[in-house]
Amino acid sequence: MAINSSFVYCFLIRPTPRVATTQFSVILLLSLSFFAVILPLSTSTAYAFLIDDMENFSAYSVSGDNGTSYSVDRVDMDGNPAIMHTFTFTTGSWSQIERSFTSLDLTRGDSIRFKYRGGGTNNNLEIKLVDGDTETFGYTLNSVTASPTWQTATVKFEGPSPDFSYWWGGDATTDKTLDTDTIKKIEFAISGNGSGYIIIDDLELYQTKTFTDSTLDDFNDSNNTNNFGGTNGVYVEDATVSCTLSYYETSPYEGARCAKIEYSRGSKYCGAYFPLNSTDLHLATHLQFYIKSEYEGESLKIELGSANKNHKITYYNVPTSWTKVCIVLENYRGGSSEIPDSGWYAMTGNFAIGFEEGISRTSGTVYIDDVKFIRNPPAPGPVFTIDDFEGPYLVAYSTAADNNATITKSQVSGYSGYGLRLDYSMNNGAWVVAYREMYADFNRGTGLRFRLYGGSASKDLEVKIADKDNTVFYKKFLSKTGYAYWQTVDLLFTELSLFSKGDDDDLSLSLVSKIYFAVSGSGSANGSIIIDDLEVLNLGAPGEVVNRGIIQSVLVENNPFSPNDDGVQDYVRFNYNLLEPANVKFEIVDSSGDRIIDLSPSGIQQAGTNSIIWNGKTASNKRVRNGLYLFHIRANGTNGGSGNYTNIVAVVR
Amino acid sequence: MKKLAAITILILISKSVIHSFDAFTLSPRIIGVGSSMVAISSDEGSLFNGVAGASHRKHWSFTASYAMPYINLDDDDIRQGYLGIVGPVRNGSLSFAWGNLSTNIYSEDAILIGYAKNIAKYFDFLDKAFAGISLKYLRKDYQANRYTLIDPVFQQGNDIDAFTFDISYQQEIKNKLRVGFSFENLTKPDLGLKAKDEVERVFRIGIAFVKPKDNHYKCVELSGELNGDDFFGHFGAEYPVFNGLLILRSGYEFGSERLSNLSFGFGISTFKSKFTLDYAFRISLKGADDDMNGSHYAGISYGY
Repeated sequence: MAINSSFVYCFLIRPTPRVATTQFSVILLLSLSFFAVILPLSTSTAYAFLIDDMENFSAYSVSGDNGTSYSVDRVDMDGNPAIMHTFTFTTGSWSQIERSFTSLDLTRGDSIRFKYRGGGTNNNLEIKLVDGDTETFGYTLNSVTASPTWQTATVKFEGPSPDFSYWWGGDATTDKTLDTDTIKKIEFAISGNGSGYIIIDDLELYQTKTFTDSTLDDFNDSNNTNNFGGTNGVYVEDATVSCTLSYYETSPYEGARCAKIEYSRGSKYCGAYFPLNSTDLHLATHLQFYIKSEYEGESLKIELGSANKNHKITYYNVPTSWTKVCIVLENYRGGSSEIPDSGWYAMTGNFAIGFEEGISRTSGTVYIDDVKFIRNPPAPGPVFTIDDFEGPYLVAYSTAADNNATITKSQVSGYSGYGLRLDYSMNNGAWVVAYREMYADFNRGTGLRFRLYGGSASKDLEVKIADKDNTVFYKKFLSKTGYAYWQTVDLLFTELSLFSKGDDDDLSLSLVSKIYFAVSGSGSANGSIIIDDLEVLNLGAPGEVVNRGIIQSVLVENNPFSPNDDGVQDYVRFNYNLLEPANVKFEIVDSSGDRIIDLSPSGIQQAGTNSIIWNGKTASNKRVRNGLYLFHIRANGTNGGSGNYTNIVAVVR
Repeated sequence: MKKLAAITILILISKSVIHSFDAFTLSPRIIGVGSSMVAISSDEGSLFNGVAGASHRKHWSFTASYAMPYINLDDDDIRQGYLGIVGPVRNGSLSFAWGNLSTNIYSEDAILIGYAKNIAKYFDFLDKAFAGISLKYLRKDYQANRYTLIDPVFQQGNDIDAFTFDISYQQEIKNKLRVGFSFENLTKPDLGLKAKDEVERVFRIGIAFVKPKDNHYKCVELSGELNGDDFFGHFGAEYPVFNGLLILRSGYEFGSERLSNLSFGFGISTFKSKFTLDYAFRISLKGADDDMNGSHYAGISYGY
């Protein structure tokens, strides 16, 4: 099984096979990986990153109207914790939970997305954003709090017809405009009457807009005007330096021509620039181009600029044959020396290739071709790993940090037994990382689980997985490290996205080579985290892996269930995963062996996850009595396999 | 004529009866004869079908059994345990029984204390007639999990219990011919966690041919059961062979919806019939896939 990136692939530069190349790979991988902050993407037309996985219920405060009672608690939903807000409105009419942020930046998306389900009285759910001006913007989902099944709400705050509108707050001096780069609070309020509860999970910043690959220049027309409307050129430190840009017809990577940069700089700097001409690139995730050097030993700077910020990344040892370079734009984003989030809406600077003292040759020739900005789609597929941290992890785990940070590792009491403690100190925009090399087969799982104990500093935690060819997928947890209690962190495959490409664009789960825990984020801080019990989630399919022939797994949702029409668990859902297409026979039987109802689906069920729902009624539409019932699945595969599974479901009212 | 009138009255009464706590409280002997033991009922294995027949016992005896119906269940088991004790006391017999059904998500318990005596001397038109009454304690318990946590049904807790009582009657209307009946759960106890969930009243009535043989009985019984709105019929037979060393049993039960169960069983009796090892197998003829069909029951009984 592999996690596949179906769209575009970013890549860790492939050096030529020399002794130094392995070191180069590691250095660049770490460089690109650990000070990068990338958006996990969800579809080719929309992406999201997680604001809150709702596992830290204590981060939420709860309040309400007079004449109401309310509470907030954590509830385990199929092993995935979520926030449950319980309310009883006697004479009052609202209660809410809220989470505060120092300053949450939502500029990379245009919507808030979250999951919810509930029960009891069907009331309105309001979601509110409070910005730095203390202005509250809100949106009401009418009569939704009694939904018995998970619903997903996507509420737009940006665009021509945003869902959020100004409600209250601020003063005469404020602008009544939602400042998406300085969100201070997110609130979920129930308004109405009666009593009930709502469960909220997976609060995400979501982007619904489509970003089409945007080619800056393919150099085929030998015209200095690039596709963004800017005029390409060169820069030199002084007149002693020469640097020329031409469009070269011999052996371009593709098309008619490529760009050829020849320079002789001595000890000065020079380079070629390609203006971005205020193009909106805020939805792009990667910069991609092809490059080769005339001579070995060439190194250079890759620069992007906007909003008076020009940020450079060093590229060491440019190969002498065409190589694709794909850089996560988060490398250029957010830090004090990097391009601010607001700058990406109008990139006023350049893409540039620079040659500098101490890095580059004194003279040389470099070719580039097909410079474009792309957005990477999500990468569905399972991932998992295992480590109880009881072994000699001080040897197994290596650490690294950028120039503005330090990290130390130690063995401490963990969630169970020992855990790995990482103490870090970082200045603005820095990163630290601990990583372990391994040769592990994660092919049967779909997720990781580990225990995390934070403290002192609220930074972002990134988990990355690399396979044998150094393809790296990752997930980032915002502000995850500040909680001084044990958290259970689940990382499902659906939450991973491509970080950097290795030999290919797939994450090979059968040959995982490294796992990384990185701490990053803006601001200076000293802090620590303890990691323990990194383990495989046996979620190769929903539920327990049973391996009954071609029935790989079974998950019974709502067992016991209460078919009493109160909107809560009125049905039971049987999810099962088939390893091949199959005819499926599905029956409910009572404890006497009497068949209650035949729920067999018609036609062939496809391989993968299938579901059957039972509402607690017999074939003659009578409600069954409370008690135990058996369900039986028999699958006869079209490829010759078969399997059967029988278990118990309980009815209660 | 008087006997016929008594039977008629019993049948008329039966039409007003409805319902039950789940019927897991039977020993392998009773399963082996298709759960038909109402008129035959005379031992410690059938106390939840009525204690009246226990008056036949002249000495103390007990039985213990364990079963795992649908033994090939995945990831969970249905476990059934039964313990019954019967013995003579002054002017009658005393009975005690405990039945338990449990799985990983749910369990039931039923405890019974009963008394029965020969009442023929109080009615000149009766010859051999026995009546019994039993007090029952019933309990249901759902194991807490993430689903019970959020369902309002469990707001007041995951378990509930109640008391109720049964009455039963057994009469020999003719040599070797017995009739019997039982009314169970007469108070219709409520075992609902949130909504009312009354245990159905159950009425059973049976007629049986019973003849002692080799310290056991050769017998056959036909009985009916009204359980709520459902009707069930039971037919069973028991026959000792090899001088009572082996007791063969078979039965059939059918009923509302699609119930159609066939059962077989045997008992191996030793030590002058004081010790018996019982086994029964029940299979549904109209049940689900063959993969899950059939349940095995085993138990021992000992008479002091």
